[in-house]
Amino acid sequence: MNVSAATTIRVLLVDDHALVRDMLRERLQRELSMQVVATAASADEAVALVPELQPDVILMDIDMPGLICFEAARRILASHPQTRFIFLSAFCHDHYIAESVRFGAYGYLTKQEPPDRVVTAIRAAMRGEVTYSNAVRERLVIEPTGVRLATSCEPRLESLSAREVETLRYISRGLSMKEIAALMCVGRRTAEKHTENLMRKLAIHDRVELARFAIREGLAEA
Amino acid sequence: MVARAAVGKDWAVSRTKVLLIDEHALMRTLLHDYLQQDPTIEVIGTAVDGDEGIQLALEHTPDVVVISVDLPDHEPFKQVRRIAGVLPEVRLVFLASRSLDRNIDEALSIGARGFLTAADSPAAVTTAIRGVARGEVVFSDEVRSRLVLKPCIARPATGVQSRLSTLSRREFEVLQHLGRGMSAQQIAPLLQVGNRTVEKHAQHIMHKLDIHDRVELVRYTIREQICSL
Repeated sequence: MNVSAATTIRVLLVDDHALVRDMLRERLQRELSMQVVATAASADEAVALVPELQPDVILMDIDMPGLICFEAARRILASHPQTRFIFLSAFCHDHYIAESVRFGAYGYLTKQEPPDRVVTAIRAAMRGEVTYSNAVRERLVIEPTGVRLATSCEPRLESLSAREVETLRYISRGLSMKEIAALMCVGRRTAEKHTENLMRKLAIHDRVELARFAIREGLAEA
Repeated sequence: MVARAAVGKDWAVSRTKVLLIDEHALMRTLLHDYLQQDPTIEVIGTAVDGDEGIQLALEHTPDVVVISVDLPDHEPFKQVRRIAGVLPEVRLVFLASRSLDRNIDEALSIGARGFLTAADSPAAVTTAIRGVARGEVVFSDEVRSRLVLKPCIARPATGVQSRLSTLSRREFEVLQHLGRGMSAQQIAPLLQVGNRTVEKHAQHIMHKLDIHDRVELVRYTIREQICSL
């Protein structure tokens, strides 16, 4: 029964929905050589937990309130580059897939998958393998040089920087400049500058229209 | 093994028979396994939709049907209504990833006894199943925050409606325009009223829906499929 710490996969489970999170934790705990070291209800919490817990795999929901999950992943990878991310989402938007591919996530699973498949994906990640759900794989082209999306993004979005996309996502959730600046760990002036720039690039000058645009383009959920 | 089987038989008398309907394998399987551990509950089957569910319902006559709903989609409610039609005693519990007003109204209209969301704990689901089996009505806090009492109704437990359904026809019309991102100045000529009237409607709408930001209001109309994108 006793499994040495060296072979136990340490998992951090991040989902704002208690129902899925708690049941999935129980399911993963039943696995030998797998330990859910903690659960978190937001990406902010996950960022705070990583230095102490040093998880091998972070299983993360995509659409959560607070810090954007991809930004959380970027921050975690900057200090703990060995961390392996697997995303689990009810949504299957090209932008989410593109971001998870871009920073080398070890998987993107939809909630159509049975729990066993989540377990398999976690084990595969530890072997260095990437797992995509069928619905996700259908949107990807696998080439010798790597993986890319089958369809290209809306051209206006291509012109936005990563920070501007992040700002746009927060605006579309109805957050104020002050709240956005706090989440991005920047001054209010900087957040406003990002907003001005993205409004100019998109030629949209109203936060309601920005929100509609971001939701339409699959950058955010309504 | 023998002892366990005997215990199982004893429980069979009082166990609440549950049918689970959920199109997502993750939730369906997790919930099935979770509920199975409860000695007071017997999951008689799982189904991906109401069509599959009705067969199981006819075969096993569940006490409670737990159904997941996601988008504002009339179909699952229609299917579940058919189950309630053939099993009038069955208690319906809805489980939603988020508490959409339109889904709450649909659920109420077919006599749902419970409505929970994914924000609830797994234990809350078992508590709700036991509660509705005893004849109680169980709404989670998130759902309750979207409910208002219907005026002049003697039975408070079922005399509720969603915030959305409290809007007047005119207010709903204004909401559709607001959701498309239109300003009061743009809406006024369409309704042949003054700006002030539209602004007044907008205030009432936001108050009734308990939404206090224009972006939130737009997201609400998209979520509830009141406006398309």
